[in-house]
Amino acid sequence: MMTRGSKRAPPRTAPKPGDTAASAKHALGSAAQTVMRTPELVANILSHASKKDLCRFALVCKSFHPPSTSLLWRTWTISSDPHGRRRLLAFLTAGPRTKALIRPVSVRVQIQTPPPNPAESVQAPMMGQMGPQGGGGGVLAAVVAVAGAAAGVGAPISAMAGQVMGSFEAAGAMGNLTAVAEGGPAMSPPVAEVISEIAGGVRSWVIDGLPPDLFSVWATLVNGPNCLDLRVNAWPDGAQPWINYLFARCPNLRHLELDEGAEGVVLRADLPRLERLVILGPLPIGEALKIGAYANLKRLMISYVESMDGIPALHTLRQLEYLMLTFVKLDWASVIRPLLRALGKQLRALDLSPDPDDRVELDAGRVDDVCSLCPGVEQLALDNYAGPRRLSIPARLFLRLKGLRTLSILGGGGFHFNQEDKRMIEAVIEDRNDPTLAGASVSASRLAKRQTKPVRFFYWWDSEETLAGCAPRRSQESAWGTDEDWELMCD
Amino acid sequence: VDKEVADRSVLLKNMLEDVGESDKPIPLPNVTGKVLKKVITYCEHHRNDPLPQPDDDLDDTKRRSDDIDDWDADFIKVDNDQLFELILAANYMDIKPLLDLGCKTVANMIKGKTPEQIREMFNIENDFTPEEEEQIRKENEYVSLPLDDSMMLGGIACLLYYSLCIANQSGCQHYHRWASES
Repeated sequence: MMTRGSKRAPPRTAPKPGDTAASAKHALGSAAQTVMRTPELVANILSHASKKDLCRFALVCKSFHPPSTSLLWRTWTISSDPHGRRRLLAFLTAGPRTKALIRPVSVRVQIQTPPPNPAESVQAPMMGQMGPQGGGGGVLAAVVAVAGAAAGVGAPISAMAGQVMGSFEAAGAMGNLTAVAEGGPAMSPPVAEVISEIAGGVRSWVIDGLPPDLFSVWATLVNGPNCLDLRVNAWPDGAQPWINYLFARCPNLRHLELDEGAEGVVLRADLPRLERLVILGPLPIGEALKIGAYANLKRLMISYVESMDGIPALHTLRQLEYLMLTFVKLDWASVIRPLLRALGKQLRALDLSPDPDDRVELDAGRVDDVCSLCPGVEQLALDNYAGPRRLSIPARLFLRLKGLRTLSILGGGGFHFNQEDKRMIEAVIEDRNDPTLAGASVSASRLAKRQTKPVRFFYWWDSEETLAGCAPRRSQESAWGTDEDWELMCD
Repeated sequence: VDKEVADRSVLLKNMLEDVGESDKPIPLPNVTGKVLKKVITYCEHHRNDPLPQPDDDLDDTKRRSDDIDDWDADFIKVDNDQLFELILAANYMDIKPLLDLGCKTVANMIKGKTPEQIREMFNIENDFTPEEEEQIRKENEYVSLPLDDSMMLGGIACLLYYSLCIANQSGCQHYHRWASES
């Protein structure tokens, strides 16, 4: 019974529509607060948030600032474009408490290469901005010099790197800020400073561009044992010794990619954790032989293979599922067929596109080999062939690949379809008709067995026609980079 | 509960391996019956999924909050109290996919909210001084600063091209290709 003066609970007021704060206040109870007071749960929640949300979250309270800041800087593209320079400035001007939280694990570097004259590219723009030059002293300069000697690098790159590090140490914070704000080649010292501060924790490096001076600095500072993912898409002339020096210190790589010729590059003999290897460029035979020892390799792409000596070494790769041998000049009967016999059953993606200049014809025998020796292939590319004259023959054979969902047979020249071919391929793709049954209509059971993943077919890139609803692919390079089209190349 | 379902929880899997086959109930003191029922529903549906690998993914693009499949989205449509209890249960029972699902859902809840709204939502006190708050704002300015003129022009050109593609009904394919190459 209610007595006079007793305290009555205030009536619950329903939150007004749109009053999110009020409704949340009513909705969230102790479990929510427990979650938000558990650091690893907060870190998990924030790992799914966008950068803008992380900025807002960092302002909520002192305990949310560290995980938000760490995640904001977890990946970093160090670049010389306006956005990249702005971010560099943010790093260089950050307070010590924030700087201590910045430990990126994945870094991409895109610094434009300055003019070839090192005197102009490194020294001149910094004159008058950064104090005394040319001392070449300092601890980091000495480290680079010693590493240069260890790597067997001649004077130019090593000396330039020493100059950069010496300049950087002499520059002071203001000089670096000016250099970043203005951009251009004077950015080398501040970029070197950034790399020296963050390199220890980075596990994934992608190098899209680094001037010669910075390349050697970077190669020296990479924490080798910590590095799992290394993709060098461009490097300056004469930098191979630095790459080799770097490889020698990276025994735990899972992903290695070299997008330029691998001439002069020395791969490690042992990379037990390597799962993905991409080398776009001629690979010396001695190095190709080493690939066979990478027992954990799942994805391999090598291009411009001209010798067959290294190929038998690949027969032992029992984990390999994605194989791309593009622009190869290898004999089908003596090299490719034995390779498919050894590995075919385990493959899910295969690219055996020859050099178009060789004008090799895609005959039914090759297609038969692929379809019978690699029954589990889901993605298949046989580009750059000069034929065949009648595509309907291999099209029938492709039907045997039950899991096929991407097929590319971009012609290398003079590769046209007639209407009969087109109808046949459309039937293959849409699975409306079974050519092996000579025009029998589609049965219910056949429909039930229909592939759940659609085949997407790409063909001659000059054509504007679509085929069975599939858009033609204009070029091999532009389309192969996506996750959907070719999983080997997904980034 | 089938062993296959129980094995979705690393905690239970380890306990079962330690104890061996037994009919004795396993105590889960930190999980209420209602939440446990919900957890079991989740584990039954996902009983055949591959077990999660250690999370050392270096690619941030895979840490999204908008990739929840239809069944999971429907499953996680619960009141807020239960959502957070599910997160705590998944954390305690070590069921990573369920934990990630709950955390993604919370990440979606805080999306676009101001710091003040987040504080109110979770009953958190602002312990920053105004100076500290200003310093953090400045440090993170690079994320939200307006684009430079050149970048802005590029963006406008991109939008115009996209609009033209739609207007001409030539499909978005050209735009996508162009955007991915640029």
